[in-house]
Amino acid sequence: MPGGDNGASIIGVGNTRYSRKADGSAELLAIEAVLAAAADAGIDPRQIDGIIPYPGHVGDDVIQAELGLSPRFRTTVDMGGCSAVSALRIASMAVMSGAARHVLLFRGLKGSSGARKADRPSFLPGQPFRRHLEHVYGINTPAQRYAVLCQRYKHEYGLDRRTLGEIAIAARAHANLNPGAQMYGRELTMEDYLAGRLIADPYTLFDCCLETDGASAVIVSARNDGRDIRILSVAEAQGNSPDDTSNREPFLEIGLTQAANDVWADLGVGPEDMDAAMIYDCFTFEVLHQIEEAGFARHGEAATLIADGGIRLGGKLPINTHGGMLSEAHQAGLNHVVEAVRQLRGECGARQVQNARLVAVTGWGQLGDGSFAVLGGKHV
Amino acid sequence: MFDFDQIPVPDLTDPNFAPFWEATRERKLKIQKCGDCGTHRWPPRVTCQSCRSTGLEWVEVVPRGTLYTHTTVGRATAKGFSNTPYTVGFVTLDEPSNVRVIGNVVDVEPSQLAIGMALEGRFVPAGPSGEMTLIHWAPPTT
Repeated sequence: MPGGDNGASIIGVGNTRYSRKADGSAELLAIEAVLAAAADAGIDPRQIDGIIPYPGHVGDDVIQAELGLSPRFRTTVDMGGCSAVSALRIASMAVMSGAARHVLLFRGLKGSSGARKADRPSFLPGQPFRRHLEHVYGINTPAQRYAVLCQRYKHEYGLDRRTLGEIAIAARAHANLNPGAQMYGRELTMEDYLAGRLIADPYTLFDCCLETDGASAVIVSARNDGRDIRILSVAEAQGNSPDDTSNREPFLEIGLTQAANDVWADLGVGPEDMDAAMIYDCFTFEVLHQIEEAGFARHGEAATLIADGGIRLGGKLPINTHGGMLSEAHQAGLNHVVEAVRQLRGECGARQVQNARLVAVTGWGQLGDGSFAVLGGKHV
Repeated sequence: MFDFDQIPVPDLTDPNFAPFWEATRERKLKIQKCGDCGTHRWPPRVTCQSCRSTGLEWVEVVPRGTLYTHTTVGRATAKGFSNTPYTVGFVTLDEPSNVRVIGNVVDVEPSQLAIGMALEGRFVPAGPSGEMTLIHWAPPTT
């Protein structure tokens, strides 16, 4: 067993159907996911005594009121897309300290049929910088803010569009083995990828993650029974400076760089020991970027891993076996945690990674905040 | 190309930015310099990251530099930017070379953009009544 086991487990996961347009309200979606996670954990929802919502999504007050919960612990993790994995850490600390026994993490949003990203409130740090330095030059979306990272990488190391294309196509191939994925049943070819319309160069349509109507939930607990999945180690860090990418140096260094180092050091295992990785795939290049920053490949060498099926099922490091945010659903990374748990339980059917024992999960948020966890199944 | 009158105007009196906006109105680029150790910094902050001093000078710099990275936007999302494509770049100043500034890159076909290309700043009024002056970057004319 690797060292560093923090003692907390994920005992339940749940999600709704993911779609472009859900009939019910966002609140109904959230409740459905929470009830599914509680049922999966085998607990009464009223046993949930800790709760960590996500800014901008259905609030914890709604869940409390609807289900009659009286949590002893609640907090918000405001790190954008890396909040899901960062919240695993906060929830672990809560259950190990006795502040709560069962902590609920959830997402619920009509992110596709409701207001789209550019029209929703922004929770990015450094709002004056956004207004004075970016909005006046037509920069106001993640695609635009992250495209400049990809462009610079391309200059420093070289990057073929087909490498980014393979990331998108591998995600879609995995989604086509996942009947719960929003893009299930919709093939994506390299020809389709290359014909995608321009979003923010070098990003075209299929480089960008989905927007989704749906909800997901995860329950972290001090319980550690046979079916429970252990949170072996989890860490977080931010880019320097966290509120500005333009003058960051090294330009491509992100929070994950430090967070992954911390987890590898804590666990005494390395990237080569992982059976799969769930990587926060807001954009194709961010998969490649995080492969390198987490240590799965050296700088400039991720393309070699990605080529020849290396990140597909059966490859050297299967990545995002659910289809990720590119092809399963946008759940701000919580679906990556859900998938890691299902892989470690052996519940993934056609997309199961054989004998999955250790799965890494990354979070990417804001302007390069990063989080990193390694989860372990009962075989560990 | 740009809907200059529709570009949202930030609070030009914000003390962290006011000297910058006052300078651009006079067609000058000013950035911050630590009043104690002399380190240049951008974007504007109240503390020097090198020496922790809150002493501060605003100094004029020559608006010339090279393209550090860029993106050409094809899907319109921002007020004042309904016409696509348009390009945004991070520009490394020639002096001081530890500072990058953000701005639209103009008069370059997207296919001709090249990291490292020389650019010079142009001052362009924007906002409903031209109350702010933005800096756009273009290949040098001299």
